Amino acid sequence: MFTKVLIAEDMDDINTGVLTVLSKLEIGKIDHAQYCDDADLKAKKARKDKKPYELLITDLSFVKDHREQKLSSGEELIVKLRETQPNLKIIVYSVEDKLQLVRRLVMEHKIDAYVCKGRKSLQELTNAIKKVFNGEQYLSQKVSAALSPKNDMEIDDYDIGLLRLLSKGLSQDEIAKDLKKRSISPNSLSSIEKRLSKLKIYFKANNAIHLIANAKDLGLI
Amino acid sequence: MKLLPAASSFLFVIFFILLASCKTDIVQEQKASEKVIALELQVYKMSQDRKYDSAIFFGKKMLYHAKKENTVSFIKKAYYRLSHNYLQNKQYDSALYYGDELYKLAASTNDTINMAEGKNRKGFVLKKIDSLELSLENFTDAEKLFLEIGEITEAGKKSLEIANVFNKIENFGAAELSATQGLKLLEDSKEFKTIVGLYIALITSSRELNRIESANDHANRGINLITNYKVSKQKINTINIDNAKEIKDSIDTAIVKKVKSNYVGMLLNGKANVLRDLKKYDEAIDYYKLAAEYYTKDTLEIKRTQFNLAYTLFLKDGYTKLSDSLLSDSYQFYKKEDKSSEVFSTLLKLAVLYKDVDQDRSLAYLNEASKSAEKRNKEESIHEVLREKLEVSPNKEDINKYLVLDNKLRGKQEKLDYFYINNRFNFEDERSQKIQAESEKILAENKAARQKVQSLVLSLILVIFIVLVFFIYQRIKRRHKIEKVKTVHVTEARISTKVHDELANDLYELMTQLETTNPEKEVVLDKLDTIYNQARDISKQIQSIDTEKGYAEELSNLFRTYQSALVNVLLKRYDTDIWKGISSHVKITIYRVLQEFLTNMKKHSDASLVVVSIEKENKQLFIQYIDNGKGFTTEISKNGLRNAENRIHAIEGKLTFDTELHKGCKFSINVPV
Repeated sequence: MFTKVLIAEDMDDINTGVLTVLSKLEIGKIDHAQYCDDADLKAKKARKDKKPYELLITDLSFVKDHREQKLSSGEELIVKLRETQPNLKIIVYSVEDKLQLVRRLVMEHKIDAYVCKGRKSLQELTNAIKKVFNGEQYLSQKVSAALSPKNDMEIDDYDIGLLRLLSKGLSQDEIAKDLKKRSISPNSLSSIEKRLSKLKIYFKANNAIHLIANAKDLGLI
Repeated sequence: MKLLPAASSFLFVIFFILLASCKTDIVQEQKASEKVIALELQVYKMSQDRKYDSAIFFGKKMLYHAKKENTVSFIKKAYYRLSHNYLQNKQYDSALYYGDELYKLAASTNDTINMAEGKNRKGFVLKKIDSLELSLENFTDAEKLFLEIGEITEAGKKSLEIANVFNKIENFGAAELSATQGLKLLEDSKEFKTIVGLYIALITSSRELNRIESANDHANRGINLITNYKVSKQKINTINIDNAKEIKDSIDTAIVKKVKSNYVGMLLNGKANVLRDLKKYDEAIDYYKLAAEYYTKDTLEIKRTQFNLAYTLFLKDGYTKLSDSLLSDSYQFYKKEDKSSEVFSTLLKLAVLYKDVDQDRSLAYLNEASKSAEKRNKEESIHEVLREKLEVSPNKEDINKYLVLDNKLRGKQEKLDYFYINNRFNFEDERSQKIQAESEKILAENKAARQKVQSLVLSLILVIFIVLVFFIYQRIKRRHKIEKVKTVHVTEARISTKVHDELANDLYELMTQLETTNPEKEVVLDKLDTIYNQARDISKQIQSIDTEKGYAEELSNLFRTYQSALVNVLLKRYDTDIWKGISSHVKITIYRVLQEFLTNMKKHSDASLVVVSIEKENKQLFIQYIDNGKGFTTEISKNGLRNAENRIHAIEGKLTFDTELHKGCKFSINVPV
């Protein structure tokens, strides 16, 4: 398990919750900071002492108060620490569930886990820590869509044409021929097959008949 | 306030200094000229006593002192006096010289009145030495100058001089013009002498121009002037103006005194001449006799009237002893007085008198006249004699001579006419230019005033307009503000309703549950989680969104958020460039409306599939939302959809929906962009 963990979180109650979870995981040293600047300083000191933190658990939004902060958000803190300590594991623990934001954090700042605060989120956090320790990635179910390919659920005119041909009772072979005749590509049998199976997923259909029924229900064809 | 007395006293001091300096100036001038004044007085006295030599002597002395003291006004006076006295003393070249000096000095000091006076003096001198053209020029200039400075009386006098000179050079048309001009100038003045002079000139010119009627008219006007006003006014119609005896009684002696009786005589003589022309010989003779009474010592004029009388008698009765003796008497007188021009005309008349009675004698007179004319070197006179001679005894040599002269004289006449008319027209031009300039100035002033008023009105209108615009702007702003406030209120109301309906109700329910029963911890937590998520949803609905470049991304994220294991949200691929140039409030509205549809879908519809398509065509945005959920009945959804409907209407769009229970629902949004 991690031996040294830093928590950046401004809400005391949440801190307590997190600490409870961590204590159960038998982690050697747990520090916590209420300000991003403090967290940055602590990480600096730890590096200087040759005992750098192995994991950062951070919130994204920090309530502004009378203390002037150089780093005003969790994202800034992540950027800073990623620069100075590239192999630091980072778990974001936040109420924010914007997919765009999650994707950016994962893709650009290489965070290791994103846990949405909510019901049973402490349990999720435990899972996340375990997974991250094992070198895996973890995203809360709520934001898992941020990375899943299923997310780009876009259909186009080609797809609708395909559905229309299918609804006319054409077999896949016949569809391929028809497309070829009208010089519409892709028109290979395999690509048509691939596309149709994708559409089945999109339209939550178990078979071709179900697919056409659903499309008809929506009035697409 | 303290400054005021100080300032006023200061001004007072300045005023006094100015006054004092003025006074000393005047005193200096007077003091310096005392000697000169005395000399001037002497000159005047001598001149009055006809001791012109002495006058000239003192005049020169005066000029010397005036020059020494450098008092310009007295130098001018000296020049004037000298010119006058030299003229009287018949030293014409000197008179001319001083007249010229006067003009030059006046011109250099911009003294118009003395410029005119100088020209006037020169005119007189030149007239005396028979240099009539130059004399005319000078008189005309003088008249012009007098007119320039508004010396109407003097200008009128000059008109008379000009008319007389014209009469003398037998340019009667010009004379008439000038005399008429003079009369116009003096019409309402009391310059009776000049007016009568003008009438006399007019009678002469009109007669010569063979306009006897107008000559008569002028004569009558002249006589009217000298007759007693009261009487003439009352009896103007009863008195026969042609009757010399009746006129004699009504002549106003006071006016005669002013006019000088010689002039009255000349006027009466003129009237007589007109009557003679009208062949009213008896009346003419009476008038001649009356005229003779008015001549005082000027025997020349008496003789002229006498000569006229003789000629009239001749015309009335033919050749008589009386007319012959009277003419001869005149002739002798003129000869004695060395009045060559009168001698000439008497000779001419005698020749005419004897034309039918004694041709030889007539011819002898004509030869005499011819000699006299040649002696005076007057071509006009020679011309006249030749004409008469040709009538009495035509011969070839005389005819040739006559024709040559006739041509020459005509040319001369034309030249003079041209000069005079030109001059006159120039003057008229100048005057009309002046008037025009004045009227233009007035017009310009009027225009300026009008423009001023116009610009004032314009600026007033502008100010009013600006104020109006400002108020309207304020009103619009206020209305906008009100609308803004209204929408804020609406949003607030909506949020408050949501908070109340969804959060507060659920929380209350949970509270009562906890009070009455003892539910498991997990159940409570689940319920709380639902409430928590509801709160987050509400907050999301009023979260700000990126309406710039990231809008398309934001929109697809919205769909992704509602993407779950239970629901697939499908987006029909579209060109994300269509969002370019669409205003942010349209974008926000569309986002919010779609968000609302999706929220409703998630909450109520149990749909498993959602398809959204976005298109832009012909400046219209088409957005379609389709799901395969439960659908709803129109009555139920009315309230839920009102919000979306209002939003779409606010961006002038159209929202149509198509739903049936258990058959999903379909929304179409149509927005012009």
